[in-house]
Amino acid sequence: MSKDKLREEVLLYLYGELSEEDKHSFEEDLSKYDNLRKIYEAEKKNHEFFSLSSEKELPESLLQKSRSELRIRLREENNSSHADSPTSGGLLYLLFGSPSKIVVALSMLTFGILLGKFVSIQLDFDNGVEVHRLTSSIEGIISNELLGSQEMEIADLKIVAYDAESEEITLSVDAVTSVAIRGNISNHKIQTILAAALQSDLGPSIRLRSVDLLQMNIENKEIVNALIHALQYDDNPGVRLKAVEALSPYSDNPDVKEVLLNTLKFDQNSGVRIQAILALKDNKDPKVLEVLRFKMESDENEYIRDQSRESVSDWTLNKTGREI
Amino acid sequence: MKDREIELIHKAQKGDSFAFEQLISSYDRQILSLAYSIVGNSDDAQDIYQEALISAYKALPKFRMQSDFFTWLYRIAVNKAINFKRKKLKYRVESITKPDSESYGSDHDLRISSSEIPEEVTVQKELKDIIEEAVLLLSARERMAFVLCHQQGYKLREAAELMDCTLGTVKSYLFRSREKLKINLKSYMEN
Repeated sequence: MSKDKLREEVLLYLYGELSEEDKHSFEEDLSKYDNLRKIYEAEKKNHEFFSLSSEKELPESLLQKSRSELRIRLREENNSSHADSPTSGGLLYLLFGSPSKIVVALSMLTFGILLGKFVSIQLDFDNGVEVHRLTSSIEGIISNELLGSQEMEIADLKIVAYDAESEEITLSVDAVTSVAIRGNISNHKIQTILAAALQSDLGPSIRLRSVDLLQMNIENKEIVNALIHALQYDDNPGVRLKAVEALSPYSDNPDVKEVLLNTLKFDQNSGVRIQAILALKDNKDPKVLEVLRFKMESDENEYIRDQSRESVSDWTLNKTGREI
Repeated sequence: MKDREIELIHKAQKGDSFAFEQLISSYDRQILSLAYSIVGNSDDAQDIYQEALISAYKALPKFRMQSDFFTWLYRIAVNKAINFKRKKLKYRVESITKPDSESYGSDHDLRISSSEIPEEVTVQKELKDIIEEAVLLLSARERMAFVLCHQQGYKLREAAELMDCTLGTVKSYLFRSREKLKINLKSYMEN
């Protein structure tokens, strides 16, 4: 047998590709023939070396990010396939012939046919809040009062199925309607919505207004967390500034203190850093002192350096009774 | 195939993207992981993941349940990964050994700098990284055969099915990949 053929046999053995019978026979040969054993030893060594590399470890964040992007792509794919598809794009025309007939037919359809979203308005006076709630299910009939109402907007429409024989059609509609909520600013539901808005991408003016409203009445951890989130991740310095203001009275809270310290250390906007130092300057925590000592020398903003110096001086005076 | 999976496939075939997301949720980690192993960076791996899954979603109406869904899906991913063309060059090209570009083909754009070879590579992590980089020097098909058979433990017959080629071809890719790795990693292996 040629050397190449022997090597192939060895590799098949190493990858577990030999049948039981062949494997047995190979092992017998291995004990008999030196040249085979030499090839085997060398390839085994290589095999073990290559096995040091395993599949690359997948960062969990990468999977989550990929899934989010896929969701968006799938939605786009659905939209484009329905818009581009000749059967869906031209279906209404095929069905009803002319635009006027389409309008008439559509208005009839809207009252009778199955639609993809069930929308209903319910009034909920729980906790003194009046909520118009939107509910949905996989299939249902749109309520007549919303149908034709200018408050309802059709965001997406899909023709799910059309049976030419029975002429039955199933549409799926994303129906969006505005929701009015009225209640006291201290109401938990209202605060939750504002907190969600603060962490959304609805636009900086809405986020700014949300912080403004939330800071009037910070009553639970959820709100504090929303403000911390805004301070850490909002790309608008105005929102971050407002978040520092809102969190300032809670600088003794370890989470708040931590985020304020990070803001003072790392925020690129000097206005936000100034707000952070004002929130922290009276805090007598050694961790704060450490950052202030660093900042009094290193911050590019003169006011922050001065404030840090002043605070460090006050802190040491209070602690020792004499200036160090 | 499980009833739940069949139900989700039917829904997804009718354009229910949420059902599709549920359907793939047990498998997409493996797809991303394969892509990551093949291209060696997260940006390209994400591109392959997106391309493979969108293609699968589009092709799903043609899936007739005659094969295992995962095998069908993974085959699409393997195909996308093999045919993936980088949008832009992301790595500096430098040869690990003597210039031998003919044996590598045109899509090899990563080389380990000889100047970066440490005197003694004792840390397993470093070796692992070096081997991974050397794997990236292989041609796309050799790399796929190596990742599937050597790293993921697929049998040659299964790898051939996934790569849409004969058993003999995949065997040849795998053995050739080992030969190239031996050449590229010679200095490390001797130590």
